[in-house]
Amino acid sequence: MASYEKPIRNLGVTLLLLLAGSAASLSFTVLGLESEVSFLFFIMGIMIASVETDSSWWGFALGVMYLLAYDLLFTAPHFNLSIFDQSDLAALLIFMVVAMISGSMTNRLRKQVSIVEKNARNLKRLNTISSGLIDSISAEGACEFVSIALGRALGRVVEIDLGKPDPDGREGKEALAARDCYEQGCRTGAGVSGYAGCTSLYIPLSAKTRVYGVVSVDMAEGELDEEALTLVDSVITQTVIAVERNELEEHAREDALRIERERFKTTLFQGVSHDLRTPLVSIQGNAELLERSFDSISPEERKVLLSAISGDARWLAGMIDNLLGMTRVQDDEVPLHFQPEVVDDVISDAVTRVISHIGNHSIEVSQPDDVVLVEMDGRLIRQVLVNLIENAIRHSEPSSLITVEAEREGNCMAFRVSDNGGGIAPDMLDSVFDRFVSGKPLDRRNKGIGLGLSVCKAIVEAHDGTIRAFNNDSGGATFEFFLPEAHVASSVDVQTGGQEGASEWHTRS
Amino acid sequence: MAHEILIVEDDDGIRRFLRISLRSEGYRVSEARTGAVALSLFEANLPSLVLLDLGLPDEDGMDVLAAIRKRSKVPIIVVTARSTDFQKVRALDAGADDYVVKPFSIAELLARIRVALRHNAPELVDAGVRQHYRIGGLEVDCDAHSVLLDGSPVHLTPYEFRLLEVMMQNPGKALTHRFIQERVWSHPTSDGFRTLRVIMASLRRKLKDSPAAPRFIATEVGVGYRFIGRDCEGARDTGTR
Repeated sequence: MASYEKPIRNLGVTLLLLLAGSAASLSFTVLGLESEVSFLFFIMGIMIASVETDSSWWGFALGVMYLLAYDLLFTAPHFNLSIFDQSDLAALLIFMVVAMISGSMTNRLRKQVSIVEKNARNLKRLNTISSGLIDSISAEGACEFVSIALGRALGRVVEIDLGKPDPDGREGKEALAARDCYEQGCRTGAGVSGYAGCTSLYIPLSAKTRVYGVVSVDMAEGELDEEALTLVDSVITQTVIAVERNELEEHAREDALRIERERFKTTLFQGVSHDLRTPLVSIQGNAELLERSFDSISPEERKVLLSAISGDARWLAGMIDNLLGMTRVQDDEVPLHFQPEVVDDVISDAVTRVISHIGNHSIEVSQPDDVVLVEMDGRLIRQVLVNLIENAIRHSEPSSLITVEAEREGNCMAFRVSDNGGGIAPDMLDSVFDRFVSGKPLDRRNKGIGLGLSVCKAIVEAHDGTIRAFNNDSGGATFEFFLPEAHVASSVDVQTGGQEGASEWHTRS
Repeated sequence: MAHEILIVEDDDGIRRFLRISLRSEGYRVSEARTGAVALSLFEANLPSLVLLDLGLPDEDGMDVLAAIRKRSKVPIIVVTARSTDFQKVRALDAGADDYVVKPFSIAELLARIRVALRHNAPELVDAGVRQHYRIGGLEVDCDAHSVLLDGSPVHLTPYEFRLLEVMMQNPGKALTHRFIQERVWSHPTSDGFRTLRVIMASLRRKLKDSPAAPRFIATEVGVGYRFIGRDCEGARDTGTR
């Protein structure tokens, strides 16, 4: 109610009661009842007045008015005010007492009701905050939520800093108070001795001996009452619990990740160690043999041994390429180097690298109709192609035909490496790109830890592409991967743009 | 007259292997383990070619490269580790003539040394730009702007022709995109060499260069291109096939 409405209401109530009292008194006289009945009615009126208005004084004023009215209307001589006599004064006194008692009782009742209501409200707020905190997934998130909710509840600006409070963004005194609060774990700032001039109150977010952060409440609009302080304390307790819980979850997550990484590394090391030793056994063996018994080995045999040594060395180099490629793709800190590459170029480079150990296989390459540019990390995609072709060499029959094709399909660039010599066992089709899975290669020498295909998958996926394997119609296997739309550019756009500019320069020269 | 080659390499095993291979080809060899020694040996002996490992212990191989380049046009072949393309490009742009990547095949290295020495033969340097080229099955007349592939005419756009010319003027050498861009367009580009790549691809198709076994132009992804016409060496060791 607006401030002028209350007195009007009080006045209205009082006048109404005055009227009622006078009317009652009149009726009692007419009915022939004794005057005591009127006075009792007056007392009832005063009680009602004290309850309905917000001060006992209205009740007392009513009492005075009743007396005057009674005096005016019902005592002889009628319609004039005679001096109060003793009984009048006594009655007045009693009226005052009654008014006071009923007034104060009502007030107390009202206060209690308001306290209960406040408590209920606070409980509701606390409940909302608790539910919000349970859903928090990070300590920062929890603090952010609480600072907003608490701010709304208190009607002031509330900030929560986790960890050491940042000195920037605060003026000297405030920054000092905040820092002290964090370091000493006690309240500082506005209202606390030794911090005159601070506009905010700083309360530590702490549990047992550890301080997690600082809560700052803006006090520019005045002090916090007890109810508000209680709310703040309860909320802080809840927040600390949420922060601790989030920290524990964070640690658990990190531990799980670390364990997974360690496990991968161990498996990788075991696999790599085995796979590095295999060619080394051959290299060392052959070299030592040649060293010791060079003269007793025939020239043809010598050539075979030497060729085996260089073959194994090349294979080792290829495996290192794959390992490096794998770590490069998995390392989040090193971004891939995307450039527009001509598809022809990447295929050509890849094929030239493998051609030396193509053995008895024949290889056919089919290019897209136009010159197509695709944004990619050229070296990595080249490695994918090299791996796929070598995989075909390793796993298909010795004289099979291997085809490499690339063509634009819709807005994607499709690459396919196919052979016609054997195919993949159907139960392996799904797992062929998993790490450490190797099929049954036809040459013992060419067994690998099966990293090659998983590197392909990792690289293609790092380009937002997809890769899959299936058995084709020619009796062999096809590996295909797609590099998606965003990466493919039409050579036509580049050509026209380039040529227009080109002819300009040409005429100028 | 036997050429002298200066080997700058800190690893003993690799140096020994290089020494033996080069000597068996008839070259004379001097060796340096560090950049400082390399520079002083260079001044003293004036070798015909320098083999420079970029991963030296005392100085950055690139600094040695720059120091030698400042004083002389001697052919320099850099030896780089496997993983970084940008290192190769930097070296080529800084004046190296060619590169090999560890581990490399000796045949490849010897071929590149031969190409580099031939390029710098005094007769060639004084002759200037040639007007006629005949390499592999390709016949090019620079005045008439005509190109014959195994006898049949090939129609090239002006930029494709210029591109072919630049490649033929530097047979067997690794040419970076930037090198080619500057000679064909005489200004740098900001489009990641897209135009160059597209025009190069179009040229190769017209020359019927198949990706499996290119006759004329080989791609080195991440670095640039190399002209590998049949009469010149410098091509990657394609084995016995």
